[in-house]
Amino acid sequence: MTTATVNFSETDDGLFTPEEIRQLMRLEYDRARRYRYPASLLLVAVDRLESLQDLYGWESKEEILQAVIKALRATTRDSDFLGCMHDGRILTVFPHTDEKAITSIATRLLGICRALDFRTDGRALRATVSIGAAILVEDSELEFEHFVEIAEEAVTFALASGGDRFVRREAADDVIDRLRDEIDAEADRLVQDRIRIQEAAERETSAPEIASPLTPPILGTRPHSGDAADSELAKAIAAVFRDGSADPFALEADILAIAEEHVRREREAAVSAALAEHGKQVDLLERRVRKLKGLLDETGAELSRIATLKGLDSGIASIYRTVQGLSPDEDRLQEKREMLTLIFEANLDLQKKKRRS
Amino acid sequence: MTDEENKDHGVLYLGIDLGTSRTSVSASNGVRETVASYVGYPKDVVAQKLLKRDVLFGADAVKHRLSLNFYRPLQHGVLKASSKEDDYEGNLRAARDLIAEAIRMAQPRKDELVYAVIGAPAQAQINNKEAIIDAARETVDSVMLCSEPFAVAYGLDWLDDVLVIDIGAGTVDLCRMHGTMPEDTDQITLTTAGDFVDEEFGKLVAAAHPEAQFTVQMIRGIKERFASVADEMERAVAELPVKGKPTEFDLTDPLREACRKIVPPIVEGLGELVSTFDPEFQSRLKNRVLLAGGGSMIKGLDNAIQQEMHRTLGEGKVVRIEEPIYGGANGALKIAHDMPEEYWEQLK
Repeated sequence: MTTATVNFSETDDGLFTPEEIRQLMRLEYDRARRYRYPASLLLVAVDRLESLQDLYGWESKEEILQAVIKALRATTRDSDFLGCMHDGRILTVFPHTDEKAITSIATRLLGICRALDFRTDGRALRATVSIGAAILVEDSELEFEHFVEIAEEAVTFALASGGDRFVRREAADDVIDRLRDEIDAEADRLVQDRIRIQEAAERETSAPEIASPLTPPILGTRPHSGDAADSELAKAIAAVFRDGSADPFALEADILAIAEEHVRREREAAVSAALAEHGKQVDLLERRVRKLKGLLDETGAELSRIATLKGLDSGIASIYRTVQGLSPDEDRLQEKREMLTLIFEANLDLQKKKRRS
Repeated sequence: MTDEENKDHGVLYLGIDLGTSRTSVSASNGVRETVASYVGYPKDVVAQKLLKRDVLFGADAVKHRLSLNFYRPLQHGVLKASSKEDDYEGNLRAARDLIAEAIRMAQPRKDELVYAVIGAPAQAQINNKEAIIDAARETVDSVMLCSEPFAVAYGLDWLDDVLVIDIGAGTVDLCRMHGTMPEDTDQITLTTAGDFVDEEFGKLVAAAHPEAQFTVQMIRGIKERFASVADEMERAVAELPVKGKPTEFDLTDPLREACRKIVPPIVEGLGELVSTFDPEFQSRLKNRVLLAGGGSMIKGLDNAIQQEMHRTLGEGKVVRIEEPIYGGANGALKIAHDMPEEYWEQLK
C-alpha cells in the first residue's frame, strides 16, 4: 500500500492519492461504524502556506510540507492512513482512536511542528500547523463525506482563528469563545502599549531644555559611532591648545564651548534616534493591531458562517406532518373549495403569463 | 429549494400580509411575527462596519436610516418597483429582501415543505404580483397570492354578505363578500389610508405650529401612539424641536382632525358597494362590516364609521377584528392550510 505515492510535489512521500485515501478511509470508517469502535480523522494544514510560497519560493514551501509530513509520520502508527488532499492539506484516519487519544496526538504534532527549524536566505522561519478533527461517536449516522466535511470545517476554523491550534468539531463553540476573548485581550493590550509608547515619545519630544548642555542626554547610549565624533572633538581641543589664547581662563572658555557644542549634538542625535525607534515600534504595533483586526473580522465572519450552518437544521417544526387541505367535515365545504379553486386558477394563470413573458 | 426530496419531515404553512407599513407573518409552527416594511442597506463600508450587517429591516432600519440607503418598497399598497421611476432596482431588491426576511422570521426548518400564501393588495398590478411571487419563490417551495381583504374574511369564516374594511398605510381596501370569490366590482381601493393621515396631520401641525420642526417619521410615531377620532381622547402631547430646542406641543386637535378625514371616503365607498348589491340583502350587508388592518387601531374608528353609516346609509354595524395586525396573515394561513395538495404541487 505504500507504493501509491502521488503527492502535490510529485515526490515519493508514501502518501496515498486523494482518491485512494478517501476509498480506504471510507472502508475504515464503515468498518468502525459497523463494529462500533472509535475512529478519528485529522486534517492538517500548514498555516499561511501560500504566503510562505509567495515570500520564499516554492522550494521553501515544499521543504516545510515535507517536514510536516515527517512529523505526522512520527506521531502515527502503521495502521493509520495518511493521505493528502488538494491544496496541501493532509488527511489522516486513526482507527481505534477516541477523542482523548486524538487530542493527545494533535497536541504532540503541534509541538513538533512548532519546534521545526527552517532557514531561508539566512532568516529563520516559523512554520506552524492547524489541525481539525472529526471524531466518530458511537451510533453515529454520519456518512463519510459528512465526516470529512466536519474535519474541513474544523481546520478552516482553526486557520481562520490564527492557526497553530487544534480544533475538534464538537468543541468549536468553546474555541470560538476563547479565541474571541484572546483576540480582544490582545487587541486591548496592543492598544495600551501603543498609547504608552506614544505618550513616552511625546514626553521626550516636549521635554524642557536641559539647564546645562553638559548634562548627559537622558536617552540611552550614544546613537551613532562615537569614533568620528570623538576624533573631531579631540582635534578641536588640540587646535585650541595649539592656536588659542595663552590666557588660561580664555582657554577654559573655548574648551567648554567646544564641549558644550559636542554634547548638544550628541543629545539631539540621541533624542532623534530614540524617537525613530519609538516610531518603528508604533508602526509595528499598528501593523499588528491591523492584522489582529483583520483576524477578528475573519473570525467574526466565520462565526456568522457557523451560526448560519447551525441554523440549517434549527427552526421550529410545523404542527403538520403532511399537507392538509379542507376537512370533509368543514362547514360549507363546497363553497370554500370553489373559492380556493378560483384562487389557485388565478395564480396558475399568473404563472402561465409569467412563463410566456 | 434544491433538496426537496429530503423534505419529508413536515409541512410548514405561512400566511403573509405584505403591507405598506408593516409585514406580518403567521405560521403553522405557531410563530407570529411582524416587521415594519422598511429596508436599509449600508451606504458605504464605514456604515457596514459600524452596523455589522448587509441589510437592516423594520425599526432597526428606521433607527439607522441616515447611514443607509433607505427603502420603503411598498407604496399605496403596491411595489414601488412597478414604476420605472425612483430607484426601480433598489425597491425591487428591498421588496425581495423584505419577503425573505418575513419568511426567515417564521423560522422554517430545512427538512419541511414550505407553502406560503401572501395577501397582496386587492388591486395590485400583474407585474407587482409577479415581483412578489419571484421574491417568495427563492425561499419557499410553493406560493400563492390572494386579495388581502378576502384573506381577512376567510380567516374569520365570514364569507357571506360581509363588508371588509382593511385599513393599511398605503391603501384602504373595501371588499364585499357574498359567498364566492370577490370580483373586481366587489372591491374598492382608496388611498386615504395611514400615509394620508400622516400627511394631513403634518400639514395641520405645520399650520398650527409653524415654528416646530418634524419629519414624517416623527409625525407617524406620534400618530401611532395617540391616534383617535373620539371627542374625548388622551391628550397628544409630544416634544418637537424648535430651533434645536425640544419643545412640548399639544397636538390633540390636529391629530383628531387628521384621523377623522379617512371616515367619509370609507363610508362613501361602503355606500357604493351596498348600493350595487342585491337590495334584499343590503341591510344585512350594512350590519356586517368588519374593520381590519393596522389603521383600525385608531381609537373610536369603528364607532365613527358606524355613526357616519347611520347618517348617510341609515344603518350600519361595524366590528373591529380582535387582532388587527395579524388579521390578514391569519387569514392567509388558513387559506394555505385549506388549499388542496394538488394545487400546491402544480404551482411548484
